[in-house]
Formats: sequence, structure tokens, C-alpha cells
Amino acid sequence: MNILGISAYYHDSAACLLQDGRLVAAAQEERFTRRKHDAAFPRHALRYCLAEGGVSRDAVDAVVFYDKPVTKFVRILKTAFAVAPRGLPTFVQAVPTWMRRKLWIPAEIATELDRAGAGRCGRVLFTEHHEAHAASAFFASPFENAAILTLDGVGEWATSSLSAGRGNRLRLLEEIHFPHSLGLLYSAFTYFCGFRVNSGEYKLMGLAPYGEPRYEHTIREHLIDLREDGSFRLNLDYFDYLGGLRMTNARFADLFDGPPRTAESALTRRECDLARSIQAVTEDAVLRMARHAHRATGDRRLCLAGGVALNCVANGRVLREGPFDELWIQPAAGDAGGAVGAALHAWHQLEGGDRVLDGQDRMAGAYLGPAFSDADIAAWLDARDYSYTTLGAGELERDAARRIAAGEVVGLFQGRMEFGPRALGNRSIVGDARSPRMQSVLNLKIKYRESFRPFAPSVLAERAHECFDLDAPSPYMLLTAPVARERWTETKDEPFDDIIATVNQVRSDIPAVTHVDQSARIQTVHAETNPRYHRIISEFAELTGCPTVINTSFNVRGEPIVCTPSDAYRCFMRTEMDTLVLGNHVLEKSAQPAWNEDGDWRDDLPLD
Amino acid sequence: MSTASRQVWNWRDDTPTRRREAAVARLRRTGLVGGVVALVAGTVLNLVLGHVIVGRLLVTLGALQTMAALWRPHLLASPLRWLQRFGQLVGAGLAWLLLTPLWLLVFVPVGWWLRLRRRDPLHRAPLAAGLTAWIPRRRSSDAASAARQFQDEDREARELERPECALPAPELLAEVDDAGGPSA
Repeated sequence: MNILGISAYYHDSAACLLQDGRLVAAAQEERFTRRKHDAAFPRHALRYCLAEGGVSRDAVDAVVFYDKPVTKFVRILKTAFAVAPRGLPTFVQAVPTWMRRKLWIPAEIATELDRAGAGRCGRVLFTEHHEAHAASAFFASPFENAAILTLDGVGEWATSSLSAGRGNRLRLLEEIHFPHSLGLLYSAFTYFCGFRVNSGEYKLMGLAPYGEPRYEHTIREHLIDLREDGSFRLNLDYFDYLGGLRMTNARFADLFDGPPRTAESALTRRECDLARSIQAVTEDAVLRMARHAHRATGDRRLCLAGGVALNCVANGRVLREGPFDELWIQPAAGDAGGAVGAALHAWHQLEGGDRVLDGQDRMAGAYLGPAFSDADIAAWLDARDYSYTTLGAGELERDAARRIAAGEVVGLFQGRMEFGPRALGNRSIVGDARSPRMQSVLNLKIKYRESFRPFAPSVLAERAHECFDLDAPSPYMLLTAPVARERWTETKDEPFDDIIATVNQVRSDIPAVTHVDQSARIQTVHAETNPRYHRIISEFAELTGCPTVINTSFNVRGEPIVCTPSDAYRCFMRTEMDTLVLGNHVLEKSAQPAWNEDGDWRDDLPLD
Repeated sequence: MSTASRQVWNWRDDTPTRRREAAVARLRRTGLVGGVVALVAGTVLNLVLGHVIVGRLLVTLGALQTMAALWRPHLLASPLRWLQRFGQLVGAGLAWLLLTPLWLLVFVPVGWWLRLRRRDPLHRAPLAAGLTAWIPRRRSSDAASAARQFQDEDREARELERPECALPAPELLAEVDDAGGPSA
């Protein structure tokens, strides 16, 4: 049975294909269109999934959309009634899009399937948004029974939900409804600190450790009424997202010492403190919800999904301080993962499909995107006269490890592309975690992004305990944990006004991945899911004694992660990366022909 | 190359020449459709409805566009781009023109009426002390609900006042406990 899952029209559109309950392919539309967070109907992703699964004409049994569009539209209308006479610009902006596209999803799906050569589909189904998130977390997890928490901006009405999962069944138990939303609260601070909503939340999280929680009390007193069971109400007097085109209003600004920060202006102590404060409140809310979920379901395992579940600092605290023994987080926890959840929901909940419980999750390491053969890559390189060397298995890993150990920045392109926001070794830029200058080199010369942003380590799963205080696997880079105490080095307090000095301070013997609070966002690399990446790090460990490398996504700021070898080559030539590994082929920057582009390519990439 | 990778990365066909050819074909198609429509509309206006000047103007423009589409499609690139922008502006203007009266005649009065009756569709009022903001989810989802583009609203559930830290009703959990047997 072929089931397609689709998420679209908000941000991070995606498609996936489930064949007899097995997740065969999943990809975000942005990777193909090269528009970050692309919200358009995922026609490219859909075509890829159909091709990957070899789906023949008229063989799609069901297409499942990840929310209920009519209910969402009703919510928008009700919001308009609630805020009128304010809200006319939002109304005029929203209604035409709904009339033109969002209310005609079955027709759009039929057209796209036909254009893709898949003919007609059996049924078009609609899950609820949080149901899709919950299904993506539970049915893809390795747990037979679990409590499930989903937290994001908003779906139809729900902004958070608690469910119980048993075998192949899932039951939503409780919800919190719009406009009270933990995701929107976090996004409001993202906006206020001068970052883009729905993409800058990572930055706010990364900024938090630089600050003090001096606004935490103000947030609790004025903005959120957080209850012991994790439920909450927001005070909407301080927000503008109901009727305006911004997230916060003048009262919010009065509360936090002045107007919002202008994008790209210098970061001040205030933004750092705001980030730290809202992070503390968010962590507290998630922890309380987790405790409530434990009491409500009696389960020992927890699954998380929804955009807030990408907050790896909060996840780390849930694991360390929460009541659950085990935690599993959907790697594509945001809206893209809704496509997977929608399809899984249809298979298990509606079709009664059995789950395979063999101790492994169903995400295959999140390597669910397109792969390209060495022969194809070589043909392409030859056609363009690009210089490269082909190495055999074993030799290639040793060579890559030797280059990383020598301080080179290596672009690693191999196997199937990752699904979700993280690069996990197949579309990654890799460097030496021991180098004190690697963080600023990567930020300023490779990624062209803000210097304060931390980088994540990839560590051999079996040796993770040597570097980090983490006793659970974190294959999807969704947990933070402290760097092992014995690796810390003496630090001196820097005055805040020199954020670069703060960033560049050596805090451990793996300084490039040690954040200002001695934490790290960890990816444990497992030989079963990514053998080549595992071998590269093993070789690096053999050379240096350190089982950790720095891993960042293969892209520059504002650009989606690379998808094809030509995307990778372009990114390689545009930046100061030293080496590119394309499958079995190694390309050195110094041996490549000059790279010329009309104008500054950075102008074409929007700021994220 | 596998079907899937060719679907994603068709670099052999995706050469600058092919891209240029495709762009020209697109321009030719758009130009021809627009040109023929203008020719037909102009003829009808001129010969049937008697609008001679407008009709002739349209016929002339249509003829020029059709000829350009046939022999020099690249000449249409810039005018079509401007036409598209103009269309977007007209679209945005029309949206304001049509939706503003709707807003003023329906949304504003109904909004005021709701406020007068102290009804808030968004439930923004502060929560009384000692209550939980969790809303019980009493309806379950099944094949029939999955076929619909909307969900059934449970207004009562939203109005329920439950004490802080109250646990979900046991029957909700029992529903899944009974149904979810061990898997393969």
C-alpha cells in the first residue's frame, strides 16, 4: 500500500512516501527549489518520493494532508471577529491566499499527482495538525507505549497536545488552544530580538547562554500564567499577532526597556538577557508538561514533536530532570515532519497496520532523501573538467580524517540526504573540534553568519561518554548536554561588550563545540545508520585521540542545505572550504578552475 | 542514473542552452495566447460591439504580440514581466477593494456585537486560580473524520472548569489501552 504524506502552505513544506508502513522517502521542498523554508505545495518533493518508491500510475492508495484546512480557516475568521476593527491588513493579506489555494487541497493534490505521472489517487485524507505531529513522534519511535507531547506555534486550534500511544493506536487526551501558545511566545521574543520568526528561533536559543535571566520574573508576571501542570494562558495585551502584522506591540516594548532590535544591528546585553529569560521560562513549561504527561499516562517513555521540540536545551533538561526513563524526539519535529506523521497516522490508526518494534526507530537515521551514485558524480565532474581524485573505501575515510586533523574544513557529501533541519553527516561541513579558531572560521568564512552561533559535535556513539555528560543516544542532534567535566579548561570572565572575546574563549579541549555555558548540542554517530561517517570519525580519533568532530550543515546562511552534487560544488566554491568529498571523489579547492559569478551571490540569499 | 536521482538532478538536460530554449518556448507560448486573445477581443469589440478605436488598438497590440511571439519571443520578456507586476498590483488593489467593505459591513459589526455580549471566540480571559488550561480531548478521530477537511468542535470541553493538575478522564486512556494491542 502506497501512502503519501504532505505538509504545505505554512513553512517547510514536505512530502513522504510510506510503502506498507515502511518510510521509503521523505524530503523538504526547500531542498529542491533552493528557497529556504519554502511553503509552496511540495511538488518536487512529491515527485522525488514517487520516483524513489518506483510508484507506478494509479498506484497511490491515499494522500494524507497534515492538517484540517477548513478548521484552520475558521480559526482565522474567528480571530478576525475577535479583533475587529483592528486586523484589516492581516485579513486582506490572508483571505486571497486561502481562496486561491489553501481551501482547494484535494484538487491541488489531484493535479500535482497527475502532472507527476502518478495518475489518480485512491483517497485524500486529512489529519489534525497535532495528531500528525503526535503520530510522527510515536509511530516512528522505537517505543511500544509512550506519552506524547507536541508543542508548536499553532495548528488548527491546538498549540500543544498530550497523547497516549499504545502499540499501533494513538489517543489525544488534552490540548491547549490558540491564542495561548508556547511556540508563539518564543517566536515573539525571536521577533523582538531582531531575528526572523520561524527560522531565527535557533539563534535565540544559541544566544541564551550569553545572558542572565533578569527578565524571567517579568515574563512570568506579565506575559504567561504558567500552571503547575504545564498548562498556561498568555496575556494577549502584550502581543500583536492576533490582529497586526508584527508579533509584539508597544506595551511589550515598554516592558522590556525599549523597541525591538533592528535586524542585523549589534547585539546588546538586553537581547542576551531576553533570550536567556524566555529560554528559562520555556524549559520550565516543557518540564512541567512532561511531569503532567507522566502523571496522566503512567508511561516511562516520552515522545516529543512540534517546533518547540527542536529546542534541544529544553529537551536535554527533560531527559535529565524529567520523570521519564527514555525520550525520543522526531528529527523533523517541525512542520516538515507533519507529512511523515500524517502518513503514519493513516497507516496505523486508520488502516490498522502493525508496528515493527525491534528496538530501532523508523526514521533510518533521517537519511530519507535522494542519493547520487559515484558514477553519476564522476560523469558530471568530467563533463565540467573539475579536478578530482577518486579513492577507495577505507582510503577515503583516512584521507578525510587526515585533512580534518590538519585543520582543513571539509565538505562532506555522501549517501541519502537528511530529512529535517539537521545535517547528520551526509550533507555536512566538518572540521576539527579541538581547534580554538574553528568556530569563528566556520561562522565568518564558511557560513557567513553571526559569530555567536555555536556549532555542534558529532561524536562516536560508543565513546560519547568520554566527551560529554550524556548517557542516552542523540542520533538526531536534538539534545544538549554538558561537556565532560574533565575536559573543561580554566576560563576568565570577559566583559560582555566583547562578545567575540567571549565566543573565542577556550572552555574545554574541544573548544569549537563547547558553548559559553559548557554545553554542546550532540550528535551521536552510529555505525549501523551511517557507517562511512562513523569510519571517518574513528580514523580521526585514531589520529588525534579525540572521537569528536565539528559538524555543521552544508550550506551558507540563508540557503537550504545542499541537495545535489552541483549544489554542493557551488557552495564549496563560494566559501573558503578547503576540500569537498563528493561520494568517493575528493576535490581540492586549490585545484579547481576559477569560480566566477555575476554580482554578489549573497544578495540573492535572503537573511534568515 | 536511477529514476529518483534523475528526477532530482537531471544535469545532462539542464544545460544553459536547454534552459534558454525552455525560457524561449515559455515566452512564445504566453505571447501567443495573449496575442490571440487580444486579436479576438479586439475584432469582437470592433466588428460586433462597435467600439472601433479600442477594438483597433487591441487588434494592433494583439498582432504585434503574436508576431513577436512567433519570430522574436525574447522581446516579450520585459513587457510580460511588467505586465505580471501590474497584474499583481491590480490583484492586491482588488483584494482591498472587495474585502474592505466585507470587513466593515460584517466583521466589524459582528465583532462589536460579540464584545457587547461579552463573548470572546478566542477565550482570552485570564484563567481563575486553581484551574487548568488543558482542554480535554473527548472526540476521537476515525476514518470518517479523516475524510473531512474540518474537525468537529467540542465547545463544551472548552468551557469545562477542571482543577489544576487534574488528570484526563480514565475512559479516554482506557480507549487506547483497550485498542492498542502489541505489534508485530
